[in-house]
Amino acid sequence: MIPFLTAGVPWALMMCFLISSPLNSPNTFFLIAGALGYSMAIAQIVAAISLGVASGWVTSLLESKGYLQDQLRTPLSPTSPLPPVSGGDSIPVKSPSSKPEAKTLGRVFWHSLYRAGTRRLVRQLAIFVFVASAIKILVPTAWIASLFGKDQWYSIPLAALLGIPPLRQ
Amino acid sequence: MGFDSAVIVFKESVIFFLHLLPYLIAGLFVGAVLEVRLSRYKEIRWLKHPGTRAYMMVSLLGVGTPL
Repeated sequence: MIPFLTAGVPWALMMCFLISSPLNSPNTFFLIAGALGYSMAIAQIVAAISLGVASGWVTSLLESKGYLQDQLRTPLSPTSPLPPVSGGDSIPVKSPSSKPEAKTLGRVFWHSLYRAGTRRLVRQLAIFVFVASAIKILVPTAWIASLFGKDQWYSIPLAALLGIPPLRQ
Repeated sequence: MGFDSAVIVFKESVIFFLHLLPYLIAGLFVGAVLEVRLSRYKEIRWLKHPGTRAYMMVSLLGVGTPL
């Protein structure tokens, strides 16, 4: 997000990215598909995009009312190139039309697959699977049903509270 | 009881992990390919024109890039 800030991308677009990006990723999509099915994974993608678009509208409205003025931003000049949109490593490109070298593509691919992906995600998946299995076996089903059952008015807010990203990390 | 439960949890974890592993590998490959493909774009002119289409594209990029 720092390149976005320095490039002066409008707040509404930044909020779209900030809201939608943590909600889903290709890894999350396939893991949700494996655990809960593809329909649920697609529903989560649609929800993430919808929330991103809604946050763009709201931020645009706030910006038009002047609530987001005097922020620490560098103005966007008409000719200034914007940074790559990827969340990971950026690739130096000579010109907008030129393609990055195969060596650079290979480096980013390897970094994304091995360092950021395999190393971190496999470990996190192992922990997640262990905790999920422990809850499934050790916590009584009736207790979970009493908290998250359809009859409880607080089941959805409670589930949303448990799903806050910092609590999931 | 405690040891038996631990063994059952361990077995269940291994089965669930092996079930999810192919999905994780697929997600990693797709994520890496998307990251490489999206990194090609140095200049994105539509970011300078906010609107519903731009919000949708940025949101799509947000969910398409591994963070």
